[in-house]
Amino acid sequence: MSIYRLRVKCNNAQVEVVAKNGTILAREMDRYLESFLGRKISTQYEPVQQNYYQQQTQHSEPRMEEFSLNQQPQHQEYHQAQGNTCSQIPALNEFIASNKSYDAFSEFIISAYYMKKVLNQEFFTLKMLNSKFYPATGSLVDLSMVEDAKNRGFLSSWEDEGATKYTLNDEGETYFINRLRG
Amino acid sequence: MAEYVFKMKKGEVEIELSSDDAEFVEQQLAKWREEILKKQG
Repeated sequence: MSIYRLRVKCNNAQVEVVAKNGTILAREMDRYLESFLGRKISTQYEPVQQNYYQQQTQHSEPRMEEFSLNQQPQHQEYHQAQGNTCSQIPALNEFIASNKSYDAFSEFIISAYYMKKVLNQEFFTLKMLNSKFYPATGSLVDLSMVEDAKNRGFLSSWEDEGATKYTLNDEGETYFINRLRG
Repeated sequence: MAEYVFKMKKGEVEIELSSDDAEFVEQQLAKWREEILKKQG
């Protein structure tokens, strides 16, 4: 069985996507190509068998994407796309664009809402979020931004299995609905 | 089995595609080349 790998580097950050399905990778590649060219490109892909995004919500950690800073991904899990097309669930960049983002912080809150309400993930780690945030925005969420959100009462966090987990709380959801929802 | 690698860089951003599926790599490269030439045209 063939393996498809897409690696994106920017400064000292790296995102790597490994898949057994070329169509998924082709979609991701098109997003970067669009960014390079500064315009949309149109490609018709055959629908993948099942929904990768839907599948991802069923796991506490992302299974296909791994994100790391200054190091190679510690482990890579191959993930066969299983589901319908991705068209039912918007990509994060589309979700951000459909709402009111003023700056990196608002993009972060929109992304936290996306993780909770669109992907139905009860929590996220910084690594999980950045694996989506970086491809969507070209920038990273750092701890200072997370602390800012916590200090403003938008984010709840707890320690679990050696990792800090976050979720947008009721205050954060209210902020999104009142200030950022498109 | 051979692995095919294609790397593209613009400014600070670098993307690298690799696969052992020669047909897939060939198709993607053809598409990218076409899109980039469109831009230049």
